[in-house]
Amino acid sequence: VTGRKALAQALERPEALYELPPYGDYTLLYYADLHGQLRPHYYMEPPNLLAPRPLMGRPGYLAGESFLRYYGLERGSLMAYIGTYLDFPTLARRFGPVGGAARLTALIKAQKEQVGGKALVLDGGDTWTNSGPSLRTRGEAMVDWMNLTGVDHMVYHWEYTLGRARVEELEKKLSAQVLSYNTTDDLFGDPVYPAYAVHPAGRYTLAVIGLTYPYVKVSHPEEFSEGLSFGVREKELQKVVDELRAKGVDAVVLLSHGGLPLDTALAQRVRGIDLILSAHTHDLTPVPLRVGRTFLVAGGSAGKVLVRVDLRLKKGGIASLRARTLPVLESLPEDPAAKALVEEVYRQNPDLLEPIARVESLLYKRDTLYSTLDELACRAIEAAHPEVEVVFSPGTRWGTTLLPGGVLTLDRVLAYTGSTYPEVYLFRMRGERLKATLEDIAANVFAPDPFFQQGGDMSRTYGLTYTLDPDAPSGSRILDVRVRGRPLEPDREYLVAAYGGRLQRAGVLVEGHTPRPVHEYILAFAKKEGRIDLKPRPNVRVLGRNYRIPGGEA
Amino acid sequence: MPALAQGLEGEDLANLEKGLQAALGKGFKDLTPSDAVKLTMPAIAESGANVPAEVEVALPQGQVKAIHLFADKNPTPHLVAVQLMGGLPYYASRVRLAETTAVRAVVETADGKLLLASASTRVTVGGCG
Amino acid sequence: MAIRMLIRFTPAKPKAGEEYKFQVVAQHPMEPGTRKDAEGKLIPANYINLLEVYFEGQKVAEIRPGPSTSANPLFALKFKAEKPGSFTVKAKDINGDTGEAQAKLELA
Ligand SMILES: [Mn+2]
Ligand SMILES: [Mn+2]
Repeated sequence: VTGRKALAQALERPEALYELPPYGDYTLLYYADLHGQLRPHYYMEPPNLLAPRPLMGRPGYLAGESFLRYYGLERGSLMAYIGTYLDFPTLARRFGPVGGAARLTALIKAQKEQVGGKALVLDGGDTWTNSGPSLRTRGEAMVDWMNLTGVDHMVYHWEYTLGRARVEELEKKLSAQVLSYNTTDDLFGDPVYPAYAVHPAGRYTLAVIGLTYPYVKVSHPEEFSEGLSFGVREKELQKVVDELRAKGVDAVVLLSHGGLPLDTALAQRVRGIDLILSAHTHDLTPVPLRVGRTFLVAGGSAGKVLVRVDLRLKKGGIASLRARTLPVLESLPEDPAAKALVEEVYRQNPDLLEPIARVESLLYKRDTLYSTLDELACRAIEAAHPEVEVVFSPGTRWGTTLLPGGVLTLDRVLAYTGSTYPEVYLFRMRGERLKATLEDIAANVFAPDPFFQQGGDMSRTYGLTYTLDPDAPSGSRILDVRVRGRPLEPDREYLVAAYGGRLQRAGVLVEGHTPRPVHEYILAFAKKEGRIDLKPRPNVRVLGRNYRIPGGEA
Repeated sequence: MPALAQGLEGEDLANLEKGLQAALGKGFKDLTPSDAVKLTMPAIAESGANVPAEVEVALPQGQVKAIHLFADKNPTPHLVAVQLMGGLPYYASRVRLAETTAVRAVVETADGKLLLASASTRVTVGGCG
Repeated sequence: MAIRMLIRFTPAKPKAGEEYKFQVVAQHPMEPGTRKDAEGKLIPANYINLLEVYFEGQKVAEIRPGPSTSANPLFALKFKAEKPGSFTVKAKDINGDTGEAQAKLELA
């Protein structure tokens, strides 16, 4: 507890945060889930992270007050700003925007210099897409940035939404080495990437194993990763770890895009991993976690933080470690080369930063069930297709936040809708099927065993309200479904709009509708409105949980 | 009812029965659950279009005539019939599963028995990243 | 169009008496007849429904897939290495297209 208190105090004095006294033999500099965010921005953490009951209160499901309590942080502190939604607009004004490639690069280089170069720079994946600059360059701007930052290893997830061919093309330019024990070619099941890399670390050796997101094919249209298979492959991971141990490697580190709940389960089930650097669920761990003999450290998202892990090694493992979550704040210096790169991409895409509308209420994306940015997307679709009864918006974890008084730009719209499959589809679907779809997504999100969770938060619904019982068995979590206020009729066909998923494949497409990207809808809507003032209107009632949205009346 | 056949996610014995009758002229009641048959399926599929399936039979080579795979919930439950004339009692492939389903390996032995192993694979429409 | 196939032995050169895996991958869409295209139209069924494996001219296995084997299908069998020799695989799909592939088994 005293350690946590001391940390909380240290976090109040940023200079103490970035100038760390020497510790141990070797350093890992880790970030994750950048999602193409090259410029500083705001990013509010979720008001709610609803958990399956057995996982409640565990890292991976800590939002707001419970995050502060778990890590011993003060409300209103810098780390409360970085790690929670609490007092967000106030703290955002106090601490300023976060992230930005130029500052992240400078911070990485400065930290590496502090340890005399004895460091590896590790990227947890979800780097190459989901922003204007990344999509306009089909990932190349991100690869250029990684190269000049000096990234040593990375793992993949959303990278594959650029298409397998493009990923392979970018790899030719990428100086970082991709690691994955769980990517195989479908022909004969051969591995596609080296499973690990071994590095000398002073008198010791350290291996980094890579875990690609296991459910690329479930989370995205399959054609993007055609001919490849992934999966958790726990037994193969054990084999790789045993092989490294047999070789006499001292420290075994798993660079994982598995997400904190799955990574925690892997730490329990696989023997011999010293440290897991966890990505995908966008969690932050201001204090390193320990599961059995394995340390876990999460990498945050959106460029908010760099995590520095200093390792004191011993024969056959990690003796102790020090992990620091370093916020990427506006007050930090910028790397000139990275700055020039970012400016050049935006110079070539001037439309990204043109003001579209005034923002008059807090617009955010991340939550288990509802967000005002999703509301904006759904309203924009409704405005264009008033005949549509239900709109679905994907529960992706990536996004951004806009403060009241801010300005909406295409850049900010793409920061939460930018993908390689942004088209809005109109289709008809029977009521029964609509409910079954929600049940299926809920079964996924609220699976008590992390090995059965595939994907992000619940898809957001608009025009459709329901009651959620997260603790009910699969197939009976969704209750009291209403469409435009009237009970769902199982046998009736509903007109549905959806983007960013595959739901339309389960329905019958409306003839004559040409799918257009969702950001075009949002742009048109926002331009017409001139100002965006969206009071939160959460549309899901949750049983057995205290589900609250700040400013929402649910 | 054999214990192995109960409580599996995605079980559909009526549909399976149709497949068994069409492929073997036999029904579910003619199958004997057996530990000698090992069916390995992922608990959760990465993609319903591509699910690895593996059958190993711990019986001497000459005793296994054929290996069949069935999926309860597939429109055509019979996935494959493998006649073994010179091979070891083993078969692996990748199959399409329409939805979350029970999967069955049925082994025809030289002495006319039908041995059964069951597993269940969850297939979801998925979430997002 | 001829169905193209690849054959692999694992281990590549088994020792006499050793078990080895015999894998065939065929280039084929294996359309089950239940999938829809982008316009929502049903894609007609087209899948390999017979695969025969011969060793030194003698049939050692016969695989009859239904409509639910994955695209670019993999078929794996196991054998015990007794003598070197030549494997032939013959495939046929429901449209009558055929393919043939050969591979030589060498022993270590
Ligand atoms: Mn991510
Ligand atoms: Mn991810």
